[in-house]
Amino acid sequence: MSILYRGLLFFIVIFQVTFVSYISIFGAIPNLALIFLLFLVIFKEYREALVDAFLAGLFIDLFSSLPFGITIISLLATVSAINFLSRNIFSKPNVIIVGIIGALGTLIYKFILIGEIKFFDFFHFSGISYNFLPSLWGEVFYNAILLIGVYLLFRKFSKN
Amino acid sequence: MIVRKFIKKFSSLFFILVLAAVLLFFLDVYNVLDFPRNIFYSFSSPIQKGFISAAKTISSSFNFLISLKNLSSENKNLKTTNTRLLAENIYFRDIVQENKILKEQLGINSNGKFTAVSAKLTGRDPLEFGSFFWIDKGEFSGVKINMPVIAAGIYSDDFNGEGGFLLGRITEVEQKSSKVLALTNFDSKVNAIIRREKKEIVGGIVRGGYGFNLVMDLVPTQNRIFEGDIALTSGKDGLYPEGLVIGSVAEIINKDNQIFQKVKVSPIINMNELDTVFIISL
Repeated sequence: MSILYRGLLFFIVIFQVTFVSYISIFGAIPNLALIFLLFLVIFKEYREALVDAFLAGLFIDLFSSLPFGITIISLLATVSAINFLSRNIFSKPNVIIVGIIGALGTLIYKFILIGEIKFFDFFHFSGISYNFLPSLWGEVFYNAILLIGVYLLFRKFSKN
Repeated sequence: MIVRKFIKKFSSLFFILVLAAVLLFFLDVYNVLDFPRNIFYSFSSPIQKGFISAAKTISSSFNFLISLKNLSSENKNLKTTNTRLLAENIYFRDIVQENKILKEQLGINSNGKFTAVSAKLTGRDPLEFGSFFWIDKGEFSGVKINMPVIAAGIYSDDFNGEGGFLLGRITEVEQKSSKVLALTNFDSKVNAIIRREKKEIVGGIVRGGYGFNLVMDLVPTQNRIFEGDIALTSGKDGLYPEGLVIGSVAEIINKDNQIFQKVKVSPIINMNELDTVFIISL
């Protein structure tokens, strides 16, 4: 099963850099890899989600312009934070909780990414500036809605 | 207590993976990852091309459906534009002829101003989509860092070593692929001029804005700029040849009592319809 997830992750990231960039709404595009990882954290095993976060970050870093490893660390930290929250603070998943996790996960991921970029900029390492803030709320909304969609599909199929 | 228990239970794998990420960072700094990266791109490139082509088909069908609503007014506008362009075309044909004669008289070879390599778009930045894009030509095709990338395809008539629509420049070169810093990237800066009816209005730096927009800052208010004026490369930065189209003026932000105005430039090329590009060498 985990090999299937990892193969799927590879295609999700390729899909993200090609197809998904054509479906922006108000400048925001969904982060499919992040949605997939958040889903794994909520419904599957945390350790498996961590390894998948590493792989997803690796694939994204291959295509992004940031110093290598930045996305991996952001995804690992996001998966850990969401795992902590979903195990200790949130009760059993429902539509609202899944939506909140989608939004929170996106915010955590983006803010860690911004922090890392600032850190590298301080040492004049990256030389690349990103401006995530204008599309942040759009992406938060997009990811939350899509995660709810994935959750509802999962619930429907797991009942059957 | 809960946090401590949690960290104890799950931290080891987390820290191992973080260390692996840090290690990868250093390996990349010393270019150790170049070889596996090339293998990865060779493997992923055909899949990327397939997805891009599917995305474009779906995107254009979707845009067509949306455009049906505005078909009548769009048709009217197109007819007006067509009449104006026909008149301009006659005028420019005369100028081209005149230019050719003058060049012949001066002994300048109008051909071979720059050479070009065509390439297909294979992907866009996963973190900010107007920022970078990938193309399927690299070191093996003679692509080098800082080479300008311009639009082709439907614009090929404009591309005869004269003109063209600037898209960005090469920032990373792999064996069979390259990364292009899009004009709309925050770090992109182009020395430009704004021109109206063959007359230069003002010069300045056009930099990337957010999404698919461009901005020219610090333009003195005494320079009267209008929507629809064209921004072209000036050639003064040594990176881009002179006369490439950057975009048209979309908005002028001019506040009272200020000596400078801000000009928003909108690229003429729709990145969503882009398929083939040209990498040019000066």
